[in-house]
Amino acid sequence: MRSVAIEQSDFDRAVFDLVPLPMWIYDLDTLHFLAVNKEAIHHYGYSEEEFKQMTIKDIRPREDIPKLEEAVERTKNRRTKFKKSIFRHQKRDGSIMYVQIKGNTIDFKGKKAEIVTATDLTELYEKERNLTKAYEELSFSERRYRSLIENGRDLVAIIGLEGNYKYVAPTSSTVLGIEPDAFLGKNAFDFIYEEDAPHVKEQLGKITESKSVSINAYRFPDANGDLRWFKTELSNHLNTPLIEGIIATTHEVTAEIKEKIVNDLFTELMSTFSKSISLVSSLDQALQQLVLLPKIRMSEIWLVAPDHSELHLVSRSVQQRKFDLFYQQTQGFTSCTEGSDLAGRVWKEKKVLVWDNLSENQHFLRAEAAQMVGLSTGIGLPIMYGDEFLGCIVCFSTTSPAVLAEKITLLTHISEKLGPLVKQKVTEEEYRNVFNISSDPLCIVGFDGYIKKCNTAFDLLMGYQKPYLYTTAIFELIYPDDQARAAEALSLLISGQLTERFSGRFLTAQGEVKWLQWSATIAAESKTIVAVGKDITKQKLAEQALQTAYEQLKTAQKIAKLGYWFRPIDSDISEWSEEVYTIYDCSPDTFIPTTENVKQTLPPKHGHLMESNALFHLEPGTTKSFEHEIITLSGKLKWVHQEVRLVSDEQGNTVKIEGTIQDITASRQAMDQIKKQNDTLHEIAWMQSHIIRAPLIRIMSLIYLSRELDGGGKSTPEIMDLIMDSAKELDEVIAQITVKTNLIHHEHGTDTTDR
Amino acid sequence: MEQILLIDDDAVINFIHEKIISSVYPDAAVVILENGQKAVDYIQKNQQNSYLVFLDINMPIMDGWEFLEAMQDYPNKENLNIHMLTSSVDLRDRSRAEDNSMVRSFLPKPLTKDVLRSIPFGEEPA
Repeated sequence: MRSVAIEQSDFDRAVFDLVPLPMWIYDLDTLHFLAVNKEAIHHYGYSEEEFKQMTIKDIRPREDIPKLEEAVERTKNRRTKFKKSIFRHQKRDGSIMYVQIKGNTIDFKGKKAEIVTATDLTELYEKERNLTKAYEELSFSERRYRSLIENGRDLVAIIGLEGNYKYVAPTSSTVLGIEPDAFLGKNAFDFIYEEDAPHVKEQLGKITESKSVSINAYRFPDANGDLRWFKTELSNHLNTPLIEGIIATTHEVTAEIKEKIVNDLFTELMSTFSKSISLVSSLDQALQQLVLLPKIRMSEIWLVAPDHSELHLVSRSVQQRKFDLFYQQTQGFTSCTEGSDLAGRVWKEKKVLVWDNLSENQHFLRAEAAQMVGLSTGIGLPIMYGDEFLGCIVCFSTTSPAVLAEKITLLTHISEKLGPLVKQKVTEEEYRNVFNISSDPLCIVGFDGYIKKCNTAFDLLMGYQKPYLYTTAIFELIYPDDQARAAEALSLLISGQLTERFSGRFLTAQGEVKWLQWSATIAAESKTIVAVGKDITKQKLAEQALQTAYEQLKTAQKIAKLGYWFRPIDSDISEWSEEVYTIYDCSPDTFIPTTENVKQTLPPKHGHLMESNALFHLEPGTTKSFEHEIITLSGKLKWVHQEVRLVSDEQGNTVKIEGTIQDITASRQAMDQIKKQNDTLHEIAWMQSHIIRAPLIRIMSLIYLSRELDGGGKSTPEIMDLIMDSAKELDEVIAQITVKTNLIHHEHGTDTTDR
Repeated sequence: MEQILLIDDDAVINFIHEKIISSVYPDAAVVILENGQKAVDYIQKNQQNSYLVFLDINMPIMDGWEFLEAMQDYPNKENLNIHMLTSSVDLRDRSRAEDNSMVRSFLPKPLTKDVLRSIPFGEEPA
C-alpha cells in the first residue's frame, strides 16, 4: 500500500476543520482516532480529547463491530486508496445514524492511517425504507384484493345511488352463474326479490349520509331463478376519483337464513308447546304456526292411538275459511289404519311422502273434497321419537310439489325436531291424566316442605283450594302431634334412609282429622318428592275400634276368667290366650301347651276326656260343652267349663280346633252351696208340711171331733190330753226346724264366692 | 164289696177319720192300715174288693208315693178310688199327686163330713 505524506500545518488544519462533513483520521493498526475535525465533534457529540481516547469501534453499535473489523481488514489490503460504503454509527447520545463512509489510506505521522469522511444519510435512508415497505404492502394488498374479486365467493359491484350497475366483479359468474356483463346497464332492483326491495332501497338511501351501510338479508335470484339470500356492505366512494360510485360487497347467507327460519319456527313451536297445557291445544297452536307459512293452506296432526291400532286426527288448522269446506265434506274421517290414506302411508313407510294431484290420487281417501277446495299437494311428515312413530303432520297446498320444494325441506326439518316435543307432551298428558284421575291423593313436595303440585283428589280430601295449598308447607296440614314425626320421616326420605311408609293425621279445612299413608320417591335433580297417599281414616278408626274392642274383650275375659285357645289340626301345640295361662296358673315361659302337657293337668277321673281325642269328638259346625276339673301348675284343683268346636276352611276341610275355657271353680262352689241350701230348704218345707202340720192337724181334728161328732165316744178330758200331747209335739218340731233354719243362715253367711 | 181304706200311721187321726166316716156312712167297712206296705199287702190279698182309699204321704216303712208306685201294676186299678189325704201344703206334693193318674184328688187333713159326702161312694165306679 502506498501512503501520501502530509505535513501538519495551520492551513491543513483549517481546511480539515472547515469541511462541512465529519472527518477523522484513525490508526489502521490500533483503530485509535488520530485526528477529528470540528464537524465530527459537532455531529457525534464527543470532544476532541474524548475522540483521541477512543477507537473507531466505539462509534459503532456493538453488533456491527464484526462488520467493521472486516471492513478494516479489507482497507488494509486494498490496493486503491478510496472506498465508499454505508455503515451504522452511534452518537454519544446513543442514537443510530446511517452514514456513507468514504476513505483514503494515508501515512499520518509515520503511522498507517485512513482519512474518512462520513455523510449522514439517516433521514434519507428512513424515507427510502418506509417507501419500500409501503410499496411491498400495497403490492400484497392489491394481489389479495384482485384474488378476492376474481376468485372469491363475495360479489363485488360498483353501483350508482339508484342502484344502477357500473361495474360487476367476475365472481358473479361463480356465485350466481351470471356473467358480469349481464348486469351492466341494469338496475339491482331489477333482480332483488320484490318483497325484500323496500328495505334494501331504504338502506341504500342512507349511504349518502355515511361512509358505509349494511343491508340485511334479502333474496336475489341466481341463473336458475332460485331465490338465494344475501347480505351486502355498501361503501361510499362517490367522491373517490376513478370509482365515483358505491362499492357493494355482497355475501351469500342462504344456508344461515334457512337454518334461522327453521330455528325460529321451531323456537316458536317449542314456546307454543311449553305454554299450552294440553297436548291437543299444543298441537292446535303448532298447526296455526304452520299454516302461516306461504303456500301451506291446511295442516293436520295425526297421532297413533295408545293401542297402536290406528291413527287419530287430533288437530287441524286451515289458512282460510274456504278450506273448512274440505272438513265439512270429510266429516267423520278422523282415523285411519296403517297404510291407508296419506297419514297411514307415512306411518307404514316412516318417511316424508309428497303426493301430488291429490284429486286424482286413488290412495288419497279424501280426493273429492281435495278437488272441491283445489288442493293439489299433500305432504306427509312423520313425527318420530328415535325409532318410535308417534304420528305425522300432513300439510296441504294448492301448488305443485316443484314450487313447494323449499317448504318441504323446511317442514321436514321442523317435523324432525318435533318428535321429542310431542313425545314429551304425550308423556306429560299421560302423566297428568294419571295424576288427576287417581282417586288417591298425589303430591309433589319440595325439599323445603312446600307443595309444588297436587292432584284433585288431594285438594278435595283436604278441602282447600290449590292456590292455598301451593303456598303452604305440608307440615301446616299435619296434625300438631304428628308434625315432628313427619319432619323426621321427610329428612330420612331425603337422605334415602326411610324404610317404611309414613302414616300420619292431617287436618282438613273443616277441621276433620284424616289418616293418610304415604309412599314416596325422591326426584333428586329437581329436589322434589313425589308422594302417593292413601286415605286410611276408616281403616284407622276401625283399627282403633278393634283395639278398643280387643282390650274390652281381654278385660271381659279376665273378669269372666274366660280364655281362648286354638290348635291347628296338624299341630300338637295349642295357642293359648293370656287368660288360659292365668287359669292354669302358668305363663308361656313355664308351660308349653302340648297335648301331652294338657293331659297331665286332668285329674285321673277326667283322663278319658283326652283319650283318643274323646274331648274332641266333634262334628264340624257344632259346639260341645264340657265341665271338668284340672290340676293347675301350682297344684290347685279348679273346675273349668269348655266350649269346643272344629273350624273348617272354605273347602270344608277342618283346619283347627278352637275353644273357650272358663274358670268356674267359684260358681261351681257356689252352686254346691246353693244345692245344699236347697236340700235343707226342701227338708224344712217337708218338715213344715209333714212334721209341723201333723200335730197341728191332729189338734184341729180333735177340735172337729169334739165339735162335730160330740167327741166320737171320747170324753172332753181325754180329748184335751190328746190336744196337749199334740201341742207338745208341735213345740218340739218347731224347735227342730229353728235349728235347721239357723243352719241355712249360717251356711249362707259363709258364702265362698269371691264376687 | 166296697171298702174304705184309711192308710195312715197317725192313730189319733185314724180314730177321728173313722168316726167321721161312720157318721156319714154308718154301714161302711173301714179298714185302717198304718203304712203303705200293709195296704199293698191287704189289697193284693183282697183283690175282689173295690176300695175308696184315703192315703197319707208321710208314713214309715212305705210312704204314700211308694204305695202308689207299688200299685202301678195292680191289675184291678179301676177298683181303686184313691184320694191323697195329707197335712202337706207343699205345692210339690200337690203337683206330684196331680201328675199321677191313679190319684183322684188331693185333700187336706182333717177329712170333713162335707168333703166325704162329695166323694162318690157305694155306687158303681164312674
